[in-house]
Amino acid sequence: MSSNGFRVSIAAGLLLMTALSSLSPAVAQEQTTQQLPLPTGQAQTQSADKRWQVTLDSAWNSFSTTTTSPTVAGWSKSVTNYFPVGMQFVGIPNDALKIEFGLRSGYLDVRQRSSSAADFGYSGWTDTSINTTLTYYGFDGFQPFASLAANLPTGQSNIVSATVKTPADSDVTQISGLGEGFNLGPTLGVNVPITKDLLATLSAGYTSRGNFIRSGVNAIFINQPGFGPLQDIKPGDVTTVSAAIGYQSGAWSFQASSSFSYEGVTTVDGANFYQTGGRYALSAGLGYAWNEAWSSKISSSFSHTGKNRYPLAPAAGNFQLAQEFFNTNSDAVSVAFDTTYRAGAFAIGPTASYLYRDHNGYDSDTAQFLSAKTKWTAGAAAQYAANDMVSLNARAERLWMTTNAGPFAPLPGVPQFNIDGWIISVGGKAQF
Amino acid sequence: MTRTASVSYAIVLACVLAAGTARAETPCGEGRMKSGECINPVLARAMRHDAIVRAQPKISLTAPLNLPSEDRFYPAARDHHEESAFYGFPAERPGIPRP
Repeated sequence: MSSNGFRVSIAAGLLLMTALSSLSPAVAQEQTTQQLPLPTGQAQTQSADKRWQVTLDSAWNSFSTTTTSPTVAGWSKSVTNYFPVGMQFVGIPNDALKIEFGLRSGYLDVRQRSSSAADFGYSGWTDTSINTTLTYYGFDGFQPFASLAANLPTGQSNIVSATVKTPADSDVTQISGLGEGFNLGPTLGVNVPITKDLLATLSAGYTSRGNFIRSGVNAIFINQPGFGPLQDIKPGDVTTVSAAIGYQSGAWSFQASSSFSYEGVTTVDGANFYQTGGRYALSAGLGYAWNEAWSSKISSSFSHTGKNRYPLAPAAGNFQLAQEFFNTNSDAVSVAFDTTYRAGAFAIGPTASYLYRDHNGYDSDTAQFLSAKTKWTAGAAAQYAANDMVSLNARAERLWMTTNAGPFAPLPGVPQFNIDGWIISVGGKAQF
Repeated sequence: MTRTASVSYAIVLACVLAAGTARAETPCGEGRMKSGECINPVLARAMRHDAIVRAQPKISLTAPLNLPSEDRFYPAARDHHEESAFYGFPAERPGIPRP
């Protein structure tokens, strides 16, 4: 069966399953936590008499892809094993205050092979994030919260291995690169209940991003920032405001959010490097419990980033920034769909997602946009609650990704690449 | 920056101190409406965490603020140009963006 045929079969199966499940009588919904278009982990609540809770969460994620092209000979294979570990502590010292503390890190192992080059790989820790949130419940009608997050540079930004030449695709692995600098991010926000089941949330965050070192151009005969053997990169600080509304009652749940981010200037060796354009992001999700056993969730997102600014004439010592003519950044649209069947402690169901990027970037050397990207995934996810404290989860998805395809492709002179692969995840969570 | 963080916590701590000890009412878990009715705790907690993650889109490129089992629910904002500048090879030179 062709990949297109397989995708059509998956879609037909989802529709049939949805139609069959809707024939069952709608009953009082007990499993609203499963229909909320947000993490089930977030759906867990603390009992009033349990004022302290610790959650441990870990997984093994494997991303394996094979890249080929109908017009370019050869192939390449990539296998990324990613072991994230996380911990969350929640404390309620009194009825007016909640304290939440989170910590997350991970270990990466990247192996790459191709028909035209030697094998190479890299193993190492990722950065570590910590996050503390204080929520105050002393006001009736709104609940303010303050959060302070940090990225600790436990990963490697300056990789000597050749792996740095082709880092794993973040559209597949959901992680970018192998490490950066020390970042610090405070957030202020407030939950405003409109009804007891309809909430609006406003938040504002600032991310101060520290510098880090990476390998450079190593053209030391050019006396200009950014051309040495190493580059000292200071990413631009980011200011973000967001607004969201959420509803959950009975069989239905809904959530929609929007955000805007303004980013400062990124410098290299102290000189202006570029400034990323403002970024708008919209997302929405809808969940429905068909009956006590079946529930479905659909979520989608859209993001747009404005034009970047670059130095006018760095070779002449002019690092004043000017806006680019074409937009280097891409718009992205994603849709994800899940249906879950739950029987006692066991839950299983199909899952599918779609991602489209209108273009990946603009190459000023060749004066053309780089290709668009389309990604499909389809598979199944399962969860088993061993007891009140321990749950296991697993997921297996087939991946199809194509570059230089889409409504505005193919672009002349840009080869199409087909990336097929698997995403496998096995994890567990324990709460005490 | 440090001042911003300090002010954030000072506001919350001031609220806590002003509140004093626990109220005599039955605990709600995630607070009350103006009428005193308890709000949906599952929804309130999910919305708060979602707001924090969205307000810090670039706090960490490799260690997001959610637990590993929640990764699918918090797809991070991918900035392909930034990834290229930070990790691409050969390194990008000022004035010549390399996609």
